[in-house]
Amino acid sequence: MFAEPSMATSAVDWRGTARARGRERSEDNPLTAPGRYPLVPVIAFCLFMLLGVSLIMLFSVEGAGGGGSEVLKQALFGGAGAIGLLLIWSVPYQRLTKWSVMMYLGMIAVLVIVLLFGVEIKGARRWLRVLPMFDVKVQPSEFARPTLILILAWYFRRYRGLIHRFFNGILIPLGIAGVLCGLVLLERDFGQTAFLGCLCFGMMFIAGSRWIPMGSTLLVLGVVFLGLIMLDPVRRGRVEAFLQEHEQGTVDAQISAATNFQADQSVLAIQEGAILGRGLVNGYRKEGRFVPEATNDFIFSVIGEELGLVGTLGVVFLYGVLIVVGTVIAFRAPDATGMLIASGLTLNLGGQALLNLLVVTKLFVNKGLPLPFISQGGSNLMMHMVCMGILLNIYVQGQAKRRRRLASPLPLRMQGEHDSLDRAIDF
Amino acid sequence: MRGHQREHTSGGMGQVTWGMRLRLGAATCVLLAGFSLVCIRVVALQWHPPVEAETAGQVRTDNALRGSILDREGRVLAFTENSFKVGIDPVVMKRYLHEEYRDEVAEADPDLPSDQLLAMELPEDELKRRMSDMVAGVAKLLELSAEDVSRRFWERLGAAPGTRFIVIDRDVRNQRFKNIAPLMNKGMGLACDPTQSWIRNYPNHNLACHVIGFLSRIPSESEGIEWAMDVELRGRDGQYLFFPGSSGRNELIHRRRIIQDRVDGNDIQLTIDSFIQGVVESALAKAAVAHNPESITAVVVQPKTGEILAMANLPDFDPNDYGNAEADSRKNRAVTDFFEPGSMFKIVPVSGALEFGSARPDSIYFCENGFWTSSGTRPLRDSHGYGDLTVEEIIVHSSNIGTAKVAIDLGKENLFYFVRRFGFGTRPSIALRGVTPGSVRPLNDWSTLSMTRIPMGHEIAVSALQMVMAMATVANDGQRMKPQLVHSVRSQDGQVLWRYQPKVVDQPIGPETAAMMRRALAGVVERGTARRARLDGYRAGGKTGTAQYAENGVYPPGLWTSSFVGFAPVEDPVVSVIVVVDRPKGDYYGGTVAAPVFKEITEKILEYYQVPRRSLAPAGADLAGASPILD
Repeated sequence: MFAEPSMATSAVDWRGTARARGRERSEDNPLTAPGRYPLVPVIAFCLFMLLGVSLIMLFSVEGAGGGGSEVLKQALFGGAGAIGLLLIWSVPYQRLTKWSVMMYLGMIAVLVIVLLFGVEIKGARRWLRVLPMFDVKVQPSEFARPTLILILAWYFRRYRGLIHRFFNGILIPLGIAGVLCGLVLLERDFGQTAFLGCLCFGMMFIAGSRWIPMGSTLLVLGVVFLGLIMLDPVRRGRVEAFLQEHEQGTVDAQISAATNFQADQSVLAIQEGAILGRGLVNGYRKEGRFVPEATNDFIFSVIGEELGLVGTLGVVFLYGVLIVVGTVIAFRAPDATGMLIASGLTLNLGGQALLNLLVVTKLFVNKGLPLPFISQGGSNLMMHMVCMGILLNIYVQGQAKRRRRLASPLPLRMQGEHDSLDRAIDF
Repeated sequence: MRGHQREHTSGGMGQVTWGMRLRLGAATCVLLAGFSLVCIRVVALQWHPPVEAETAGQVRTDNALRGSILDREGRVLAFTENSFKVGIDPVVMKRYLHEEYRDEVAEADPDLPSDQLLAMELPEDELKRRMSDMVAGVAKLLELSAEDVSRRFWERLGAAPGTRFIVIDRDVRNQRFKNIAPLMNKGMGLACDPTQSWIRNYPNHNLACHVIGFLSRIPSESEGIEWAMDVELRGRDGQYLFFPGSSGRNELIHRRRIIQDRVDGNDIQLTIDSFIQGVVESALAKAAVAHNPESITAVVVQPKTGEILAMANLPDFDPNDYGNAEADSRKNRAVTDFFEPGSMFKIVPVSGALEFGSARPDSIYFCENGFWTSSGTRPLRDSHGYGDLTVEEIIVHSSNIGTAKVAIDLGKENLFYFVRRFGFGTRPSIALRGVTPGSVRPLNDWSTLSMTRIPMGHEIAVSALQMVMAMATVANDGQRMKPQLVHSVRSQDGQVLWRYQPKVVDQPIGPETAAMMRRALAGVVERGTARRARLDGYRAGGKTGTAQYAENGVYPPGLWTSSFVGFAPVEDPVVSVIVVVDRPKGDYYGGTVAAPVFKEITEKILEYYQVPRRSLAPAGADLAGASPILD
């Protein structure tokens, strides 16, 4: 599929020392050596580890009572996600960017459908029942993020020359994101909304929108969003409980404790785990009402309790590796589109993981975002697997292009800036 | 802006520029910084150990089993028993009945396919009937009214259909628990709450109640040994985390995680002998009927070891029901109350004088024919006028004037010295609550009257325990022993953790003096004021006391404290006994009121200890003609 372009036949090395250095570099460097994709096993390792931890923890939490059906479900989702990953890997991202407008419109349609026909759970209408006989529910808003990343990358690629304008560089991308945000907000998913907004600003920042207008817009929107939060008593309570320290024993303190209950429990669980943890299945805070959402948003605290510091630091390390790998892939992307997509996907993964970890360790206001790859929930897992597929595709193409350029008879600086779009689709 | 310009100059629009890479690098650094923060946080959290109770399961106490209190022969005086809360889990009970029904069906029709069998359930009304039957059966085992229990059961079930525990009885112990125990946790839905609530039980009721005391709900308000030895008895409560709301996999055995194991309390073995205690108490009860006093106190001590064999007071109370007892009857008067001992106290100045050498047993003192006005305004009287008396006769006839003259010869400072060395004015060290040191005025507070009043036991106040220990000192060759109530401390598995060792506190007089005193005191019983204390087959020694009862600094007329303190047998004293009768009606001489009680108690104790009798003329042979001899 990703055939190596034939090495240029160059009997005479007339290209001089710079070229020779380049060759040397190409063959010796394991990152760029022909036929090698050294980051693929790294990514694979991280994914296997994270999914493994996920299944083990789910089994540990549910296994005793639920007979493992939830674990099986998650494993099936993981398998489906892996197939999705492989499929998307084989689709050149350039094609995805071409379709991104269609995907965007489709996404809007689906979100509207969810608002009209969705299943309501815990006061939020986010789910669509897909396979009623297997009780499979999908949360389409999860896929709003890759859609947004793709369409923004497409947009910035297309209107790159106008990015310095306020209208083209800031307002239009914000409008694109705003529609999705609005729909997700209507699902009462504040976390997802804020995250979509942050993602949009992150992409704008990397694409090169002007800082001062972007900063002021961010400020204004932030204030508006805070206002929205303050209008909602539940979320306002969460923020206040997080920010304010009350004297022990007062009513305020009790309210604060009740509101911070989840985070407090989570912190206690992590503390009780100490260095090696209590061992799998032995955690007791997950039971009943102690750590709520033990399989979901707060699974990290169960890891902390049962696997201890070893587990928690290991998981954080895996995420760190994925972030670095994503950044390297973006650095080496074949073109600006790929670069933007790869950065967006990295921000998507890293941001979500970071937000979740901050909440679970009580460093941030309680906010419902699952832990990528680990938390229970098929939609999120599928989404992240698909994202990894796109990232891998960018990586492979980037490697190929690099190799092609190194193999070219022209010196690097003379190869010129060319668009890889047309050629990439061919191979 | 700059980036934008450079992109234009550099040509193609699809190229990845260094500006983009730089900004992505910055964003990645922010993310990685966030992850590092999480790592630091996760590690830093381990520096603050979690406070378990804050928001997790409830911390519950696993009450330690309180130690028993035993007498010196190991008979139980106080023990703690478990009380269970018995209840029914309707869900499990229904399941059990359905199972039972399926078994019946399977027996009747063995060919029924198993899937059909499994789907079978009792019809609703039949289920209700069988449940009622079971509840009634439980009620019968618990000796409760079946109707009451049934009614309450169905009420509770109706009010909360999903409930998992309906209490049948909150306090099930002993036989009732033994009845029900075989049915527990057999999957029938009958269960007891594992939370312990111990109940203190005093099987002998009033016996030795003042010594044992009682265990109050508020620990600091307990009394007696229960209070004094509380540290040993109570053990250490355990703690566990209790997780309600966990799944009902094990019926009613909730998940718990032990924080601290419970350590059961130790048993306390007292020096009290419940037989002797019983003898003493019944003798006191008899005397109480005869003389109708305000209170009676008796203490029995082993002179050689200082072990207290019995300590009894009337009025008494039932520790099982201490809440309804009057405060007055809960007082252990033997140690908490002090009184003017009267003539009993004469043993102190006389033995002091003999020890000091200011007098010899055969020294003769003129007793002024019963009326002496030497010191100050108030004359000193004897009940009978005596002329010359030897020191021994002074004790035998209890001459106030003679004792005063002996004490004056001894000297003020020496008298005070012997008073203190006999233990008066010092709090006896004994494991009880509210022990009084008595009242001995400091030397520079003594008036001119004191030298004649203190030797005859006025202007001084002692507790019964102090007085009997002073007499035990005389009986024990002058060695004053530490009074002891606790014989040993034993762990629950019977290991002896601590054992009492007899301890000499002081030796105020030498063995010779003590022997002289014993001879004089034997004379008191044989031919003196205490002839009613003569024992059948044993020689006893002792001293009567009849003091005016002092109230608010004056002596109301007609109120007396009648007492007797003695020991037996004279040759080798086994016990030392004091009997104090507070304000008897009618007779008030110590020799007529207290001495017979001493006789009754001591005879029985000596028989109990199988001390061989001497062949003596039966007691009371010449008692009929004896006129009451005053002291």
